[in-house]
Amino acid sequence: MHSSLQLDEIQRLIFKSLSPRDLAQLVRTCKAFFHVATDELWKTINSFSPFLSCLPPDFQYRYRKLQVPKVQNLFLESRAVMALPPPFRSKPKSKATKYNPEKTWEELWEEITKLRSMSESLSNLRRLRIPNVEERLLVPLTGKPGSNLTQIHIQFIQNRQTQSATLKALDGIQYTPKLESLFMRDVDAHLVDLIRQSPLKHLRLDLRIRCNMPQHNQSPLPHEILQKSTLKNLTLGLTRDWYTPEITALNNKYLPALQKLWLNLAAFDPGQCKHDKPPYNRKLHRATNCGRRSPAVFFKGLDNPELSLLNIKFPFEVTGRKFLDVVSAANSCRLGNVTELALAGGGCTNFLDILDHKLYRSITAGLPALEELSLGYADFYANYPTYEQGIFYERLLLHHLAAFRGMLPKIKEVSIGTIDGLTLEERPRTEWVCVGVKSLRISHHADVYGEVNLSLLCRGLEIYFPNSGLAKHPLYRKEYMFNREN
Amino acid sequence: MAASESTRITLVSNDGAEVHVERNVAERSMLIKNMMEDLGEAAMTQSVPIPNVNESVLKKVIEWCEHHKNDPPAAADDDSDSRKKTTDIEEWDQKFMQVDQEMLFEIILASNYLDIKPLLDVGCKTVANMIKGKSPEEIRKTFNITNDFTPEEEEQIRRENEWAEDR
Repeated sequence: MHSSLQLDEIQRLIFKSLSPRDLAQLVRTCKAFFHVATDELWKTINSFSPFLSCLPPDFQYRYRKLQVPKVQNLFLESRAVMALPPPFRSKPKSKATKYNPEKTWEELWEEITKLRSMSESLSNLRRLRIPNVEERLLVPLTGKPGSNLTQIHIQFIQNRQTQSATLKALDGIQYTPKLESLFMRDVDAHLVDLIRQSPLKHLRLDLRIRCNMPQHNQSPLPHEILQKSTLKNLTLGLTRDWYTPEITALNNKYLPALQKLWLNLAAFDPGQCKHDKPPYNRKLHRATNCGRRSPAVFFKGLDNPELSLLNIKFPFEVTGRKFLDVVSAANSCRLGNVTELALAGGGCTNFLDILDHKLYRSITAGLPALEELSLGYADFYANYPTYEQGIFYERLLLHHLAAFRGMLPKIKEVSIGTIDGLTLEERPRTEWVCVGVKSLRISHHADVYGEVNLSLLCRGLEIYFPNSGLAKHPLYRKEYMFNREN
Repeated sequence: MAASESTRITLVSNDGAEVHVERNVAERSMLIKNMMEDLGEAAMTQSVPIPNVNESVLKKVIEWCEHHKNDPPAAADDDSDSRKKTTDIEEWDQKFMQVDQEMLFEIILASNYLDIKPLLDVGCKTVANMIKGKSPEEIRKTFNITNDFTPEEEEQIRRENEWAEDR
């Protein structure tokens, strides 16, 4: 080989005009070409697959089946990866070897990072979705420019060592002028910075809050979120700081551009507090009535936004009064254009418990455009030892629902949790017929499986919801057995 | 004629040969250009040593400079790594580079030393064209390279970079 070919400077000039395919041949030619050709080859990465090519053969083979996506939509879905054995902690090759001296994930990624010229990699990344992935798989994402990112969704990262570790992968993303959609489950200073400097329109913050699990997020709801005037869609759970006696409305009104709100009032459950330390102990919480006051305070702080969707998930132990307090407080928003309303109770009480026409009118008067109504569909997964593991839907009285629905002329779709078979009427009232409802979804039936109750249910559905098609097959849409004794 | 004579300078190769060349031709080399500016009038009367280039290569380089003496100066961004993936070479330059491999690499080394970027670029593109489409074994054969990877190493490298094979 001529001596000039051994000079890095000359090699770079020659290699820079070659295609990735030719560079891939060059790196295998000799050690003299390896480093410069590798640098050149890895300068611009348009896919995540190069990183995975560095993994052991078994991992690669399986990962290829996952069809690694294009770089603009990096969707790290690791369900298949999760099923893999840790590739670098395989069983000892022989009895003489206690440990297989192969590398850990961190060591591997560190080496790859050093080896590869990553300055330009993934620079075109626009959408990053991480539904469920091991934290260590995110290492190649560190230090990536965020200037083109429009969407970041991080749902679950496994093996989190510390709170801040979740966002370590995004530490390098400092400048996100195009980021409009963000979904996170943890808050730290970096996330707050991200929220502050991005033109966010969609924000979903599903904070993990557990009184008795200090490793989960305990930080207060950042005010930067509420001050984000560009936000149109917001999914939020009120954090524990909202359930202290001292909570008051913020000085400034917030979220004037909000159009769709999903408010989770069940994110923090003081019932799970095991410690007596204030302000989160159960007795104090009950004595000060924080649970009733907090959502009302939240609603009153809103800057009169015009909503098209309102979804409120109440805690499992919600009382009727609290339910009404919150519904009443929601009137601080402009609800005249709301087309979707979902009020998900915890399985005990809601405003339809009592047939109160005056109350119904006061609620429906502010919702003239409502087209979709969802009630008592809470998706609560009870984890209490006294309950069996399952989803709990609150029971609804069919004729109360019909009476309420009768005041909402534009409703086309109704979705409810559980129909109560014990309160069905023998003579359904024809004045409450809901002709306009084309779709009625009943997730569950309670106490309707006896012959008498089933016929009452059929009759009630036929009279009240004649166009839903449900009367002929009332149990067709049963999704879950609420009461196994039935 | 006198004016033309006055612009000629003498270059001396590393094997002692004197090569007479017009100053504006020689100044295609940034090294010589800077040297001339440093020497001032003295450069007109004394020869300029080119210690890293032999006579045959120097004459070949001068031949290229003669042909390209009226080329416009390179644009500023040509100096940067603009990640151009083209290996297009002008027809005259292609014929110029039809030399044996030893001479080709000597021209590359000389243009690098003399700081003649367009010539260096042509030389490197010529070599890149010799690499294009070849397998590692064919590249080794072309440039007389010894494979110093073990089969296991080569397989590992092939696997790591397999993603680039169809790009």
